[in-house]
Amino acid sequence: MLTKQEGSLVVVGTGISVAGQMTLLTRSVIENADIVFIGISNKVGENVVKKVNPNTVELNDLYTQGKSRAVTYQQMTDRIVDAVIAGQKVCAAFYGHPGVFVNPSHAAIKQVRALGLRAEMLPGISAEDCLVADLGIDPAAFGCQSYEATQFLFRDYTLDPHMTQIIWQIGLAGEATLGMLNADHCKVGLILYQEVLMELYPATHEIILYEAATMPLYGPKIQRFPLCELANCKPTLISTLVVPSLGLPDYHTGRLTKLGLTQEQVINYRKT
Amino acid sequence: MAKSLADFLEELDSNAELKEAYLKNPVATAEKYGLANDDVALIKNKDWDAVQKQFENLGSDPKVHSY
Repeated sequence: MLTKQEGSLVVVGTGISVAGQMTLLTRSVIENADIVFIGISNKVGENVVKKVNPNTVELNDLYTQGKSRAVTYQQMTDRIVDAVIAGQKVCAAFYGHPGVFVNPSHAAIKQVRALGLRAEMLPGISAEDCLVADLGIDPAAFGCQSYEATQFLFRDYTLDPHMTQIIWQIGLAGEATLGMLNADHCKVGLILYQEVLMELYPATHEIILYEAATMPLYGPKIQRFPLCELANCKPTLISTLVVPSLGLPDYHTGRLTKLGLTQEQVINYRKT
Repeated sequence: MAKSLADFLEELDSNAELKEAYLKNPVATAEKYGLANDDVALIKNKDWDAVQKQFENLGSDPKVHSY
Protein backbone atom coordinates (compact mmCIF):
# COMPACT_ATOMS: atom_id res chain seq x y z
CA MET A 1 0.00 0.00 0.00
CA LEU A 2 1.36 3.43 -0.94
CA THR A 3 1.62 5.96 1.85
CA LYS A 4 1.29 9.65 1.10
CA GLN A 5 4.64 11.40 0.84
CA GLU A 6 5.32 13.86 3.65
CA GLY A 7 6.04 17.35 2.39
CA SER A 8 9.38 19.05 3.03
CA LEU A 9 11.12 22.31 2.22
CA VAL A 10 14.68 23.25 1.33
CA VAL A 11 15.42 26.92 0.74
CA VAL A 12 18.46 27.62 -1.43
CA GLY A 13 20.36 30.60 -2.85
CA THR A 14 21.48 30.84 -6.46
CA GLY A 15 24.06 33.59 -5.93
CA ILE A 16 24.24 37.14 -7.22
CA SER A 17 25.44 36.31 -10.73
CA VAL A 18 23.42 34.32 -13.25
CA ALA A 19 24.73 30.78 -12.96
CA GLY A 20 28.20 30.28 -11.57
CA GLN A 21 27.60 30.96 -7.90
CA MET A 22 25.23 28.07 -7.31
CA THR A 23 26.70 25.36 -5.06
CA LEU A 24 26.73 21.71 -6.07
CA LEU A 25 24.34 20.83 -3.26
CA THR A 26 21.92 23.61 -4.21
CA ARG A 27 21.87 22.35 -7.80
CA SER A 28 21.15 18.84 -6.60
CA VAL A 29 18.32 20.00 -4.33
CA ILE A 30 16.75 21.89 -7.24
CA GLU A 31 17.13 18.86 -9.51
CA ASN A 32 15.48 16.48 -7.04
CA ALA A 33 12.58 18.65 -5.89
CA ASP A 34 8.98 17.93 -6.90
CA ILE A 35 8.45 21.65 -7.42
CA VAL A 36 10.76 24.69 -7.34
CA PHE A 37 9.56 28.17 -6.45
CA ILE A 38 11.90 30.87 -7.74
CA GLY A 39 12.48 34.46 -6.72
CA ILE A 40 15.38 35.40 -8.97
CA SER A 41 16.16 38.87 -10.24
CA ASN A 42 17.09 38.00 -13.82
CA LYS A 43 15.73 35.75 -16.53
CA VAL A 44 19.04 34.05 -17.26
CA GLY A 45 19.23 32.85 -13.67
CA GLU A 46 15.62 31.70 -13.87
CA ASN A 47 16.34 29.73 -17.03
CA VAL A 48 19.32 28.05 -15.41
CA VAL A 49 17.03 26.76 -12.65
CA LYS A 50 14.32 25.79 -15.14
CA LYS A 51 16.84 23.72 -17.12
CA VAL A 52 17.80 21.83 -13.96
CA ASN A 53 14.15 21.30 -12.99
CA PRO A 54 11.40 22.29 -15.45
CA ASN A 55 8.70 22.18 -12.78
CA THR A 56 9.26 25.71 -11.51
CA VAL A 57 6.82 28.36 -10.35
CA GLU A 58 7.85 32.01 -10.33
CA LEU A 59 7.23 34.19 -7.31
CA ASN A 60 8.07 37.53 -8.94
CA ASP A 61 4.58 37.85 -10.44
CA LEU A 62 3.40 38.79 -6.96
CA TYR A 63 5.34 42.08 -6.98
CA THR A 64 3.25 45.09 -7.99
CA GLN A 65 4.16 48.77 -7.90
CA GLY A 66 2.34 50.36 -4.99
CA LYS A 67 1.53 47.07 -3.24
CA SER A 68 3.27 46.72 0.11
CA ARG A 69 6.03 44.16 -0.07
CA ALA A 70 4.84 42.91 3.32
CA VAL A 71 1.73 41.62 1.51
CA THR A 72 3.82 40.23 -1.36
CA TYR A 73 6.07 38.33 1.04
CA GLN A 74 3.08 36.81 2.83
CA GLN A 75 1.68 35.62 -0.50
CA MET A 76 5.05 34.10 -1.45
CA THR A 77 5.22 32.33 1.89
CA ASP A 78 1.70 30.97 1.46
CA ARG A 79 2.52 29.55 -1.99
CA ILE A 80 5.57 27.75 -0.69
CA VAL A 81 3.96 26.41 2.48
CA ASP A 82 0.79 25.27 0.69
CA ALA A 83 2.90 23.07 -1.60
CA VAL A 84 4.63 21.50 1.38
CA ILE A 85 1.27 20.86 3.07
CA ALA A 86 0.14 19.17 -0.16
CA GLY A 87 2.89 16.62 0.39
CA GLN A 88 5.43 17.86 -2.14
CA LYS A 89 9.21 17.93 -1.84
CA VAL A 90 9.58 21.69 -2.24
CA CYS A 91 12.60 23.80 -3.10
CA ALA A 92 12.42 27.59 -2.83
CA ALA A 93 15.28 29.26 -4.70
CA PHE A 94 16.11 32.92 -4.19
CA TYR A 95 18.98 34.87 -5.72
CA GLY A 96 21.90 35.74 -3.50
CA HIS A 97 21.83 34.11 -0.08
CA PRO A 98 18.29 32.93 0.67
CA GLY A 99 18.49 34.07 4.27
CA VAL A 100 19.87 37.57 3.66
CA PHE A 101 17.31 40.27 2.91
CA VAL A 102 14.72 37.64 2.13
CA ASN A 103 11.59 37.55 4.23
CA PRO A 104 9.54 34.64 2.77
CA SER A 105 12.42 32.16 3.12
CA HIS A 106 12.61 32.52 6.89
CA ALA A 107 8.83 32.77 7.25
CA ALA A 108 8.20 29.61 5.22
CA ILE A 109 10.77 27.59 7.15
CA LYS A 110 9.23 28.70 10.44
CA GLN A 111 5.72 27.77 9.32
CA VAL A 112 6.73 24.39 7.89
CA ARG A 113 8.62 23.45 11.06
CA ALA A 114 5.61 24.54 13.14
CA LEU A 115 3.62 21.95 11.18
CA GLY A 116 6.10 19.30 12.28
CA LEU A 117 7.56 18.93 8.80
CA ARG A 118 11.20 19.13 7.68
CA ALA A 119 12.55 22.48 6.52
CA GLU A 120 16.10 23.71 6.11
CA MET A 121 18.07 26.48 4.46
CA LEU A 122 21.29 26.11 2.49
CA PRO A 123 23.69 29.07 2.32
CA GLY A 124 24.30 30.95 -0.91
CA ILE A 125 26.65 33.65 -2.13
CA SER A 126 25.31 37.03 -1.02
CA ALA A 127 26.04 40.56 -2.16
CA GLU A 128 28.13 40.93 0.99
CA ASP A 129 30.33 38.03 -0.11
CA CYS A 130 30.84 39.73 -3.49
CA LEU A 131 31.58 43.04 -1.75
CA VAL A 132 34.31 41.51 0.41
CA ALA A 133 35.92 39.99 -2.69
CA ASP A 134 35.56 43.03 -4.97
CA LEU A 135 36.56 45.76 -2.51
CA GLY A 136 39.18 43.73 -0.67
CA ILE A 137 37.57 44.60 2.64
CA ASP A 138 37.93 42.01 5.38
CA PRO A 139 35.01 42.55 7.78
CA ALA A 140 37.16 41.16 10.58
CA ALA A 141 39.97 43.70 10.14
CA PHE A 142 38.24 46.58 11.89
CA GLY A 143 34.93 44.98 12.76
CA CYS A 144 31.89 45.74 10.72
CA GLN A 145 28.44 47.25 11.13
CA SER A 146 26.05 46.09 8.46
CA TYR A 147 22.49 47.36 8.25
CA GLU A 148 19.62 48.37 6.01
CA ALA A 149 19.68 52.07 5.15
CA THR A 150 16.15 53.00 6.16
CA GLN A 151 16.10 50.89 9.30
CA PHE A 152 19.18 52.75 10.56
CA LEU A 153 17.55 56.13 9.95
CA PHE A 154 14.31 55.14 11.65
CA ARG A 155 15.84 53.54 14.76
CA ASP A 156 18.13 54.88 17.46
CA TYR A 157 21.27 52.93 16.56
CA THR A 158 24.80 53.85 17.55
CA LEU A 159 27.34 54.03 14.76
CA ASP A 160 30.98 53.17 15.52
CA PRO A 161 33.29 54.92 13.01
CA HIS A 162 36.13 52.55 13.91
CA MET A 163 34.19 49.78 12.22
CA THR A 164 33.54 49.43 8.49
CA GLN A 165 29.98 50.54 7.74
CA ILE A 166 28.06 48.52 5.14
CA ILE A 167 24.75 50.23 4.43
CA TRP A 168 22.39 48.17 2.29
CA GLN A 169 19.72 49.52 -0.03
CA ILE A 170 20.99 53.08 0.15
CA GLY A 171 18.83 53.76 -2.93
CA LEU A 172 15.76 53.37 -0.70
CA ALA A 173 17.09 55.41 2.23
CA GLY A 174 14.15 56.91 4.08
CA GLU A 175 11.52 55.02 2.04
CA ALA A 176 8.83 53.97 4.50
CA THR A 177 5.96 52.62 2.41
CA LEU A 178 7.59 49.34 1.28
CA GLY A 179 5.80 50.02 -2.00
CA MET A 180 8.63 51.67 -3.96
CA LEU A 181 10.28 49.76 -6.78
CA ASN A 182 12.80 52.37 -7.90
CA ALA A 183 15.57 54.49 -6.37
CA ASP A 184 14.22 57.89 -7.39
CA HIS A 185 13.09 59.02 -3.95
CA CYS A 186 16.19 58.75 -1.78
CA LYS A 187 17.52 62.32 -2.01
CA VAL A 188 16.27 63.38 1.43
CA GLY A 189 17.56 60.13 2.93
CA LEU A 190 20.99 60.72 1.37
CA ILE A 191 21.13 64.26 2.75
CA LEU A 192 20.28 62.91 6.19
CA TYR A 193 22.94 60.20 5.90
CA GLN A 194 25.54 62.79 4.94
CA GLU A 195 24.64 64.81 8.04
CA VAL A 196 24.78 61.79 10.34
CA LEU A 197 28.08 60.52 8.96
CA MET A 198 29.74 63.94 8.99
CA GLU A 199 29.22 64.06 12.75
CA LEU A 200 31.73 61.21 12.99
CA TYR A 201 33.90 61.35 9.85
CA PRO A 202 35.78 64.16 8.10
CA ALA A 203 34.05 65.60 5.03
CA THR A 204 36.91 64.31 2.88
CA HIS A 205 36.62 60.72 4.13
CA GLU A 206 36.45 58.48 1.07
CA ILE A 207 33.29 56.41 0.82
CA ILE A 208 32.26 53.82 -1.75
CA LEU A 209 29.06 53.22 -3.69
CA TYR A 210 29.13 49.57 -4.68
CA GLU A 211 27.13 47.22 -6.89
CA ALA A 212 28.02 43.58 -7.30
CA ALA A 213 28.18 42.30 -10.88
CA THR A 214 24.90 40.61 -11.70
CA MET A 215 26.01 39.63 -15.22
CA PRO A 216 29.35 38.10 -16.24
CA LEU A 217 29.73 40.58 -19.10
CA TYR A 218 31.00 43.30 -16.80
CA GLY A 219 32.57 43.75 -13.40
CA PRO A 220 31.22 45.35 -10.25
CA LYS A 221 30.38 49.06 -10.17
CA ILE A 222 32.65 50.81 -7.69
CA GLN A 223 32.43 54.59 -7.25
CA ARG A 224 34.68 56.28 -4.70
CA PHE A 225 34.04 59.85 -3.61
CA PRO A 226 34.35 62.07 -0.52
CA LEU A 227 31.64 61.93 2.13
CA CYS A 228 30.68 65.55 1.46
CA GLU A 229 29.39 64.45 -1.99
CA LEU A 230 27.12 61.69 -0.71
CA ALA A 231 23.92 63.69 -1.08
CA ASN A 232 24.58 64.06 -4.82
CA CYS A 233 25.31 60.44 -5.68
CA LYS A 234 22.86 58.38 -7.75
CA PRO A 235 22.38 54.94 -6.22
CA THR A 236 20.28 52.20 -7.79
CA LEU A 237 18.13 49.65 -6.01
CA ILE A 238 21.10 47.31 -5.68
CA SER A 239 23.63 49.91 -4.52
CA THR A 240 25.38 49.50 -1.20
CA LEU A 241 27.18 52.30 0.60
CA VAL A 242 30.47 51.41 2.23
CA VAL A 243 32.13 53.73 4.73
CA PRO A 244 35.65 52.53 5.49
CA SER A 245 36.88 52.50 9.07
CA LEU A 246 38.73 55.40 10.65
CA GLY A 247 41.10 52.78 12.03
CA LEU A 248 41.26 50.68 15.17
CA PRO A 249 40.21 52.32 18.44
CA ASP A 250 42.54 52.58 21.45
CA TYR A 251 43.12 49.52 23.60
CA HIS A 252 40.71 49.07 26.54
CA THR A 253 43.20 48.85 29.37
CA GLY A 254 40.57 47.92 31.98
CA ARG A 255 39.55 44.79 30.10
CA LEU A 256 43.16 43.92 29.31
CA THR A 257 43.99 44.12 33.03
CA LYS A 258 41.11 41.80 33.90
CA LEU A 259 42.50 39.35 31.34
CA GLY A 260 45.95 39.63 32.93
CA LEU A 261 47.39 41.36 29.88
CA THR A 262 49.10 44.60 28.97
CA GLN A 263 48.93 46.52 25.71
CA GLU A 264 52.59 45.78 25.05
CA GLN A 265 52.07 42.04 25.48
CA VAL A 266 49.19 42.03 23.00
CA ILE A 267 51.22 43.97 20.46
CA ASN A 268 54.13 41.55 20.85
CA TYR A 269 51.87 38.49 20.48
CA ARG A 270 50.51 39.91 17.24
CA LYS A 271 54.03 40.43 15.87
CA THR A 272 55.03 36.79 16.30
CA MET B 1 21.76 29.70 -36.52
CA ALA B 2 23.16 32.14 -33.98
CA LYS B 3 23.46 31.10 -30.36
CA SER B 4 21.50 33.01 -27.76
CA LEU B 5 22.87 35.73 -25.52
CA ALA B 6 21.25 33.99 -22.53
CA ASP B 7 23.25 30.83 -23.24
CA PHE B 8 26.41 32.91 -23.62
CA LEU B 9 25.82 34.55 -20.24
CA GLU B 10 25.25 31.21 -18.56
CA GLU B 11 28.35 29.70 -20.13
CA LEU B 12 30.45 32.78 -19.39
CA ASP B 13 29.44 32.54 -15.74
CA SER B 14 30.43 28.91 -15.40
CA ASN B 15 33.30 28.30 -17.81
CA ALA B 16 36.62 29.75 -16.66
CA GLU B 17 38.27 29.27 -20.05
CA LEU B 18 35.54 31.18 -21.87
CA LYS B 19 35.60 33.89 -19.21
CA GLU B 20 39.36 34.30 -19.58
CA ALA B 21 39.03 34.60 -23.35
CA TYR B 22 36.20 37.12 -22.93
CA LEU B 23 38.23 39.26 -20.54
CA LYS B 24 41.09 39.33 -23.08
CA ASN B 25 38.91 40.06 -26.09
CA PRO B 26 35.17 40.42 -25.47
CA VAL B 27 34.02 41.02 -29.04
CA ALA B 28 36.11 38.28 -30.66
CA THR B 29 34.98 35.81 -27.99
CA ALA B 30 31.32 36.70 -28.51
CA GLU B 31 31.70 36.32 -32.29
CA LYS B 32 33.53 33.02 -31.97
CA TYR B 33 30.82 31.72 -29.61
CA GLY B 34 28.31 32.39 -32.36
CA LEU B 35 26.22 35.29 -31.08
CA ALA B 36 24.04 37.21 -33.52
CA ASN B 37 25.40 40.51 -34.81
CA ASP B 38 22.98 42.54 -32.69
CA ASP B 39 24.15 40.79 -29.53
CA VAL B 40 27.80 41.20 -30.47
CA ALA B 41 27.07 44.91 -30.96
CA LEU B 42 25.74 45.15 -27.41
CA ILE B 43 29.06 43.83 -26.15
CA LYS B 44 31.09 45.98 -28.55
CA ASN B 45 29.23 49.11 -27.38
CA LYS B 46 29.22 47.98 -23.74
CA ASP B 47 25.50 48.62 -23.72
CA TRP B 48 24.96 46.91 -20.37
CA ASP B 49 21.74 48.78 -19.70
CA ALA B 50 20.19 47.15 -22.77
CA VAL B 51 21.42 43.73 -21.65
CA GLN B 52 20.02 44.25 -18.17
CA LYS B 53 16.68 45.44 -19.52
CA GLN B 54 16.49 42.37 -21.73
CA PHE B 55 16.90 39.98 -18.82
CA GLU B 56 15.79 41.74 -15.65
CA ASN B 57 12.66 40.78 -13.82
CA LEU B 58 11.01 44.13 -13.38
CA GLY B 59 9.97 44.87 -9.84
CA SER B 60 11.63 41.90 -8.23
CA ASP B 61 14.17 44.06 -6.42
CA PRO B 62 14.88 44.86 -3.75
CA LYS B 63 14.69 42.45 -0.86
CA VAL B 64 13.38 44.90 1.70
CA HIS B 65 12.85 43.96 5.32
CA SER B 66 10.29 45.56 7.56
CA TYR B 67 11.54 48.15 9.98
